[in-house]
Amino acid sequence: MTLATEAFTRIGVALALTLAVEVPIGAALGLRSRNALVAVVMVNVATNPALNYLYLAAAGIGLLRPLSSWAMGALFVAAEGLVVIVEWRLLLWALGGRSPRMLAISAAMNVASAGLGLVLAPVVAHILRGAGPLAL
Amino acid sequence: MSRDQAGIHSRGVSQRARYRLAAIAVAVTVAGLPAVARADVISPAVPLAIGGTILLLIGLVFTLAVALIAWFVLKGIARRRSERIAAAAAAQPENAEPSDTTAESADSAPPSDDIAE
Repeated sequence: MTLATEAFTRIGVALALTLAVEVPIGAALGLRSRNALVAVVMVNVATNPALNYLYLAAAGIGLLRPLSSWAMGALFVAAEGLVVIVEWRLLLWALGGRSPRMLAISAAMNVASAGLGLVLAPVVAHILRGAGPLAL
Repeated sequence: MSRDQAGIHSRGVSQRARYRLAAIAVAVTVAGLPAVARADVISPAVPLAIGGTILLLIGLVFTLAVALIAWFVLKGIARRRSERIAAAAAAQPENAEPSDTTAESADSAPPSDDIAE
């Protein structure tokens, strides 16, 4: 597998796993109409590949190497927090509704997918035979 | 048709054409970039620094193109929602009681049709 193929595969796998987690959770929390489901998919399409690209690019050029595990953890939490805020604002813009509720939905979806990501990232990395971060 | 109506109409058509062109360009980019990346552009013969830079740029353009597609779709959903709200407001009787609040905040926005309570 070439580096490029691996990078695109990792981004695609991360997005697919993220959607597999976040769409059902969004639906369970009330985002069930066609527009709402499309919006949930699209906010993830907007944020997830971008985040994984930044992780892969940072890892590729060695920016993550000097970081301790604590610093990596803090970076992960900060990145996920930023994603929650961006997805919250995008969902609110596209679907309307009450702001606190949208924030709660965005946070719930991303906490679930990030948690699953922490569990699955080593497995996916092993399958793709490449170590490195994977954000769901 | 008044000049205002004609102006709005012509602006709408040209904007739609621009969106269509942008959508085609973005779709071609998204479809084509992985193929380019898998091709021999980044072969072992290419020095690592150059190959890595090319890959970073391809990834950046791909990511931005994907995000742009999502942006267009979300914009369409937001526009349709605005149109629904405007249509509902226009259908309300003119002698309806005005609201006490003068400014609408997102926190006090009415529930959306797209969100189940």
